[in-house]
Amino acid sequence: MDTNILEVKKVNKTYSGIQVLHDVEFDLKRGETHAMVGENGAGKSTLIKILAGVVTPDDGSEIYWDGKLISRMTPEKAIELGLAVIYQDISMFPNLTIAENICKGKHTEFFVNFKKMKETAQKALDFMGVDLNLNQKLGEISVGKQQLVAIARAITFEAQVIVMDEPTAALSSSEVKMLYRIIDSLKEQGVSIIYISHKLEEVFTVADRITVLRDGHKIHTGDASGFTNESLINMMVGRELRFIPMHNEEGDSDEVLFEVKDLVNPPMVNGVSFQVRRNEVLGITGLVGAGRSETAQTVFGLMKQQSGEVYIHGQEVHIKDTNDAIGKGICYLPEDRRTQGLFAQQNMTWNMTAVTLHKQLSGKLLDSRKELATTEKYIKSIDIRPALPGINARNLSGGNAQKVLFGRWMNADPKVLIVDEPTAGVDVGAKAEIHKILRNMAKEGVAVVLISSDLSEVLAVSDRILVMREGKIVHEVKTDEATQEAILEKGLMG
Amino acid sequence: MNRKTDFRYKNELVLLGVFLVLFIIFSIASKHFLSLTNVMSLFSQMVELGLLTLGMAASMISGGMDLSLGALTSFCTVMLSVFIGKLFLPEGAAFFIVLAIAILFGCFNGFLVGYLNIQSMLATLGTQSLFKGLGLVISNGVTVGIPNTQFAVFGRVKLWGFFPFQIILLVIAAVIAIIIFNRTMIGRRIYLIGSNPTVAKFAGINIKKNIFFTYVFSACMGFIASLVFTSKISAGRSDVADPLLLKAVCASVFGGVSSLGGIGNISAALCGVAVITIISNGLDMINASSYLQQVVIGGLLLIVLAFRHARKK
Amino acid sequence: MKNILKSKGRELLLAAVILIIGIIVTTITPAFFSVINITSILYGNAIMGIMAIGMMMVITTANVDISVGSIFAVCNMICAAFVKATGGTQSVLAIIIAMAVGCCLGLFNGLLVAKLNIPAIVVTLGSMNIMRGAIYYLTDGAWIDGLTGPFVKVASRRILGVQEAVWIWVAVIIITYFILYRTRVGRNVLAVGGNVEAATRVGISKTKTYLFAFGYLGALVGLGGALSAAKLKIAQPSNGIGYEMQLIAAAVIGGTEFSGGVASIAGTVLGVLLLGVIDNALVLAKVPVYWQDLATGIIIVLAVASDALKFIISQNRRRAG
Repeated sequence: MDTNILEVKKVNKTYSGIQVLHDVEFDLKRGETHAMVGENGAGKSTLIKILAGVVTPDDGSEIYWDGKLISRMTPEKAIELGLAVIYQDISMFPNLTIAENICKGKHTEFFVNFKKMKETAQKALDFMGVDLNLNQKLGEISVGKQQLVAIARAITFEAQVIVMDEPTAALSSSEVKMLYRIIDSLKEQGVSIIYISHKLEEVFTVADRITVLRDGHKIHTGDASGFTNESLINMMVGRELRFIPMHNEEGDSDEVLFEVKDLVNPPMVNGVSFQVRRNEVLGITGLVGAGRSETAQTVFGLMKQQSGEVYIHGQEVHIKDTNDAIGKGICYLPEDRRTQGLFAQQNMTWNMTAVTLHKQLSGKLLDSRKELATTEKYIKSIDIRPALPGINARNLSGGNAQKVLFGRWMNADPKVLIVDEPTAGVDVGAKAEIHKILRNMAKEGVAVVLISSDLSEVLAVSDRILVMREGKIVHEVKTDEATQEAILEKGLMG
Repeated sequence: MNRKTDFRYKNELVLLGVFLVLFIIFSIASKHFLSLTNVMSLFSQMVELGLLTLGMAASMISGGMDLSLGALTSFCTVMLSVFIGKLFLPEGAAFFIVLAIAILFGCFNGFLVGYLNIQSMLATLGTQSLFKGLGLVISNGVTVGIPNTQFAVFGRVKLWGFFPFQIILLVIAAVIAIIIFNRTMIGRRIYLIGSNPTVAKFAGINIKKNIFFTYVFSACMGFIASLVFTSKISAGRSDVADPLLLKAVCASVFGGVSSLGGIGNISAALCGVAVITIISNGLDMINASSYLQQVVIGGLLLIVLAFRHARKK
Repeated sequence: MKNILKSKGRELLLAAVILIIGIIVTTITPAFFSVINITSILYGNAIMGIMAIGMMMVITTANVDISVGSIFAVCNMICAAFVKATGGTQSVLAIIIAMAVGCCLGLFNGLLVAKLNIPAIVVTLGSMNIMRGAIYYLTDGAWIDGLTGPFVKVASRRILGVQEAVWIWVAVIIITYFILYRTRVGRNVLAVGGNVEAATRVGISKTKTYLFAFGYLGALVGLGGALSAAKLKIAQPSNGIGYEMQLIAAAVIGGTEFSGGVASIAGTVLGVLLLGVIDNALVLAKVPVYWQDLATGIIIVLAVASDALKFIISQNRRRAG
C-alpha cells in the first residue's frame, strides 16, 4: 500500500490581512517519517494547527485523509481519524497520574477501571521500552518524561499520524536516543510521523523525507538522502538578502557601553559574557532554547542571577528587579508581545506611558495632555498607524503594536535596549522600519542588543553577531565576515 | 472621537440615564418619593454603600476582590463604640486609634495577597471571618451603644437643617479615589496590574507594593464607612455592614468594573451605587417588600453580566 | 510509610490537631472523649459535613459557589412546607424533593458559570441574592414550625447507637469517593480542574462537568436542608446565612486547592470535624459562643498562609537547586 495517509493541497491562511501560508502542499505516506523544517515564522506551526483542526484554513484549502476529502477539520475529528499532536507546551493534567494521562478519553465506560487503564498504559510504555511509575502524578516528573508520556498517549489512541513539534527540546541525550528507537518501532507498525525540529542533525537521523517551508511557502519536498547540510540550509534561509543592510556608518569605537561578565543562571544561562560598543548593534542568535531570552531576562532583573557582573558605561550595577533595571537604564522588549508586552485591554496611550509615568506628571498628578503629547510624538516619529492614541491595543496590527512598545522603551531613555525577536509576526514593511529604529537608537548612543532567530535580520542590522548554544556563547563574528551558513553551522550543528 | 476608540464615560452616562428614568418612574408611582426629605435621604443612603464600593472597585480593578471589607467595616464600628461608649476615650483619640487598626488590617490583607501571593478571594475570605470573629469577641456578640450626644457629626448632623453631612464625606472620598485611580501613578499601575500582571512585571511595575496599597486603600474606605455607620445608629455591631458587601460588588459590576481586573471607572461604580440605592429607596416608597429588592438587585446583576457577555460575542 | 506521610500529610496533621485539642479539652472536662460526646460531635457536624463534600466538588473544578446558604434556605423551607402539608408521613419523598430542588438551583448556577465565562463568585453572588430574597418574599419571613410525623425522626433516629444523619454522612462520603475515584465524571472533574484547556482538547465537556459539580453540590445542600428540617423540626428563611464561609473553609483547610484539580475527601471531613471540635471544645470550656468565628478565621488564615509560604519556599529551593 503506497497511498498517502494525509495530504493537503492549496492551503492558505490569512491572519488579519497578513498571509502566513501560500498554497502550501504537503503529503505524508504510510509509515514514513517526514520532517518539516524552516526558520521561525516559516509557517510550520500554523500548518500543524490546521492539520489538528485547531486553526481553520482559508476557503479553498483541501485536506485529504486516506484519500478522502475532509470538509471541516475539528480537534475532535482529528482525534477520531487518528491524528495526534504532541505540542511543545505539553498540554496534559499535572494533577493526575501518568496512567490516567495516557488513557484520558480512551476508555469511555461510566465506571473507571484502573486496572484496565494501567494495563493499557503499561502496554504503550512497554512498546516504547520506557519505564515509568504509572501511579506517579504527571506534575512530579521531568518535562522530558512528560514528553514521553505524551507519546505513549498517542500510541494508546492508535494514532495513524503523530506530529512531534520540537520533541527533543526538553530531552536528555539518552532520552533522545530512546525517542529515535520509539520512532523506528512506530514506523514498523505503519504509523506516520511528522517531525518538526530546528536541529538538522536530528532531521537527518530520523527523516525519510524532508519538506522545507520558508515565509509561508513550500520550497521543496524530497528524500532526505537527496539533501546535504548546505542545500538544506540554503533552502531554509534563502539565497537572497531580504533586508537592506543597515550597518554602523559612524565607524568602530572602542568605548564599551554595556558589558556582561560570566552571567550564570542555570540551567539556561551558563556563563555568558559580551560587550556592546558605541554605535553598535549587537546581534545574538541561536536556537529556541539556547538561553538567549533567559540571558536577557536575567540582565533585566526578571530572573535572579546566580553569579555574574553587569557594567553600564563602565560602572558596575546590581539589578534587584525590573523596576530597578529600568531605573538604571536597562530596557527589555520581550519576545511575546501578546503575553509579555501589551496591555491588550488598554489603549495605546496607556501602553505607551506604562514605564514612564513619572514623565507624565504635572505636579503630583498624571497629565493627560502630556501623555497624549508623548504618544503623538512617537506616533509621528516612528509612524504608528492608525494614529489614534485612544485605540485599544488589541485592535492594533502586529507591527504597529510592536512600534507602540518601541515607543514605550524609547521614552524611558534607555542606556541599554535589549530587543527579543522584535519582528516576529510583523509584516515586511514594518520589519524594515523596526530595523531603522534600532539603527537610529544605536547612533544616538544606546547599547542595542538584538536577539533574533531570523538570520537575515541579524545579518542586515547587527555589526557583530554572537551565536548561543546551550546557555553559552559558542561563536562570535563581525558581520562582514559572517555568512549565514557559517553561523547556522555553529548554532545548529556545532 | 473616532469610532475605534471607546468613549470613556459611556457606562456613567447609561447608568445616570437609568437613574433618571427610575427617578421619574418612582416620582410618578409614589407621591412621597419626590420630596426634599426623601431625596436627601436617598442621597444619604448612598453614603455607606458608596464608600464600600470605592474600596471594592479598587480591589476589583487590581484583579482581586476584597471580601473582608464588610467585616472590617463592622469591626471598626465595634471598636469606635467600645472606645467611645465603654472606655470613654475622646472622640478624636478613638478616631485615630481605629484608623490605625483599619490600616493595620488593610496591611494584613495586602501582605497576604501582594506578598504571599494568595488568591485575593481566598485570603480575604479568611480575614473576613477573622475580622468578624474579633468583632464578635470584643463586642461579646451584642450591639455596643454610645451615648446619643456623642459622635453625631458623621451620620446625624444636617447642614442647614436638611443636608446630611455624610454626603460631603462621600463626595470627598470619591474625589480622592477618582484622583488616585485616574490621575496618579499608583492608580494607573493598579489598573495595569489588573489588566495583566505578567505584562506589568515586564514593564517594571512593582506588583507587591501596589497590590499592598490597594488593600490598605480599601480598608481606609471601610474605616470611613464605619464612621458613618457608628454615628448614624449610635452604636457598633459586628455584622452591621455585612449586607452591603454584596451590594458593593453589584454596584461595581453595574459600573462596568470587571471582576477580572483592569477595566472600569470608579465614577461609573458610583453611578452603580446611585442606581442600586434608588431601586432600594423607590421600592420602599411604593411599599414593595424589602425582600423583593434583593431579588431585583441579584437579578439585575445576572442580567447585566449576561448582557455584557452577549455583547462581547 | 514515607510516601503515606508525604501524600496524606495534610490529613494526618489535621487528625493530630483534632486529637491534641481533644486531649487538652479532656484535661479540663473529662466528658470530651466519652462515647456520647463523640457521637454528639459527629451528629452535630453531619449536615455541614454532607454539604462540605459538595463544596469540595465545586472547588475542585476551580470554581466556588457562595449561594449555598440561600440554596439551603430554599430547600429547607420547601421541605418543611411539604412535611407540614403531608403530616410528615412521606419522609423519603420529602428528602427527594429537597434534593431535586437543590440540584436544579445548582444546575442553574453551573450553567451560568460555564456559559457566561465569568468568575463563579460573581455569578453565585447574584443567584445568592435572588434565592434569599425570593424565599423571604414568598414566605414573608415566616417560620414553619411544629413539624411532626415519622419525618422528624429521620436525622436523629439511631442505628447501632449512632444517629441516622451520621450514617447518611458516611454514605455520602463513600458515594463521593466512588464518584471521584471510580467514575468517568469524577475523573473529569479532576481533569477540568487541573487543566481546562487540555481537558477540552481531549474531548471533555467543560459545561457538562461544571453542571455535574454544581448540581451535585446543590443536591447535597438540599439533603442538608431536609435533614436540618427533620433535626430541628423547624425551618426559617434566614437559615444558612454564612454557610458558604464555613463550607469553603472546611474544604480549603482539608487541602482542596482553591485553584482546582486537587480534592481531598478525608481532608474535607477532617476540616469539618476540626471546626466542629473547636466549637465543641469552646462550649465545654464555657467560652462564649462568638469565639468560634474568631477561631475559624485564625485557622483559615493559618492554613492558607502556610500553604502559600510552603509554595514560595519550594519555588526558591527549586530556583537555587
